[in-house]
Amino acid sequence: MPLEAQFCGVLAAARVGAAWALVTLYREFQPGILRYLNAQAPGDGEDLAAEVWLDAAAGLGRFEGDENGFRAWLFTIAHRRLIDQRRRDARHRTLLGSLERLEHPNPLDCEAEVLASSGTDAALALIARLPRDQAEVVLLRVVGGLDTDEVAAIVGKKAGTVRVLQHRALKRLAGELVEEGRPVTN
Amino acid sequence: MRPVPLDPDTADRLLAGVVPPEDAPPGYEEVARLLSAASSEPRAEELAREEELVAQMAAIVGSSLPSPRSRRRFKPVLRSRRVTAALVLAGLACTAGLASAGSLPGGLQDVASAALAKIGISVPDGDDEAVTLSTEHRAPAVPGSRGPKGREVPATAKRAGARPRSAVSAAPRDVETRAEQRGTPAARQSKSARAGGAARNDHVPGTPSTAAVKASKSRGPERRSARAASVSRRQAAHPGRGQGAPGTPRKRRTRAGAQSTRNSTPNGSGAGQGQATGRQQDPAERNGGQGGSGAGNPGGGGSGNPGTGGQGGEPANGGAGPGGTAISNAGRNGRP
Repeated sequence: MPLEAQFCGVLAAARVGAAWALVTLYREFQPGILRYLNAQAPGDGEDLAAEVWLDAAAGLGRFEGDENGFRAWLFTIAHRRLIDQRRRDARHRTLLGSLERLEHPNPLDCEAEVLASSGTDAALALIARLPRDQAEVVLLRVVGGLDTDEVAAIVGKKAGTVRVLQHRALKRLAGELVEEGRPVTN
Repeated sequence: MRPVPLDPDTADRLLAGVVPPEDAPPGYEEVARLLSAASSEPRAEELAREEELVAQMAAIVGSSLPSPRSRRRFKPVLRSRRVTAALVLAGLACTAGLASAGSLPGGLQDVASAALAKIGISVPDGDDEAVTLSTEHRAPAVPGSRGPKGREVPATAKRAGARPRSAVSAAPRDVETRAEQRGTPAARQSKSARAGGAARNDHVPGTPSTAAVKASKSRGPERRSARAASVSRRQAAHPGRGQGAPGTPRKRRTRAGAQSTRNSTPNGSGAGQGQATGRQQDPAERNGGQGGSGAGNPGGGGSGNPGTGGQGGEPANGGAGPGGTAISNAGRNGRP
């Protein structure tokens, strides 16, 4: 249920540390953030989502805007935490890391397992197979519920570039789904 | 079935979730279904860490709230005190540096000299600065011509037939003489200091003493007496002044050197204090005069070597023998 008119009151209460307001915000935005992060960084989504919320709590007093602005702000934080995680992975790509990946295989490599879990996970797994920039744009648009301009601001690209990326992503998804003939159930 | 080409607007609406699968363009039904599944209702496992995270968020928000007794009141006070202290220290350092360089204006230089003298630091006073500027750094002005700053030399100097600025160097001697006649304590001290010296020469003919007296008269009696006292004190305290490194025209040295030049005789045997005569702008004389001051030491004024007179200003030659050498040459250069 969107907050809409209640958002200003909820935000004001959350700024002074009201637990009920924080719970409301968390329930409203956590699923989208977690899906976005799980699709982009499989295995690290939960921890990254927790970092996003803690960062948001620290900066809650500085935020000004409506519900859409708050959503875009949260996904901006999530996008930055994701970039940080990718940099950490690049730095600490050691033998130990490789062994951990063998122990916890990438969910993308176990497509059948993902498909067996739920339609949502299957859909996210298919989106995650797209090139990274296309997958990011589609996830922010679909999971985050953001428009083209907001996505462009988050990923640091022009709105036209984002439209091109999303168009290519849809075309690619359609081609793969038609070729495989695999229905996606909800 | 191959998907049909997709226009940007339809793609935008598909991603916004406003196109149901049955209304999607041919080949995009599954895509619409997939996007709808990705944005489905939240599941319970997605909110599994709710309690933990909300508690942490509440703690963070509570800690970031401004406390009733904010530190804001004290920070500006501390900051302003630090800034003020830093500014005061910087100002003191700048003033001390300028005072040691003798670059402060006359009154301030006097005050700084007196203040620093109490803590054992000797800096030139305002009178020294005036004399030095007039004797050392300025070229002799030709009456009617333009000075260093484009000012015309006063007509009084022209009438007196003197060099207005360089002639001031002769003023201290005349001032001392008058001070002695008046019997001021400083003059008495100066007289006693000079009494310990050796031979003394009088004016060399042609010395522009008239203009010097005029220039010194214009300063007023207080400054004259103060300067006379300063000169006598310095002479009494440092009879062998003038030993310095070459190329560093220290102001007092130049002045003392000029006095020694006056003392020197053409044969290089002169020693002790001299008279303010024969003051020239010739650099050779100036060098010789600096070295010649060293001959004022007791036991100085030894036999000079005429061939090395130009080195009289070097520190190694600041003693008796080479100093006498410098005097010898200075006398030759200064008085042809």
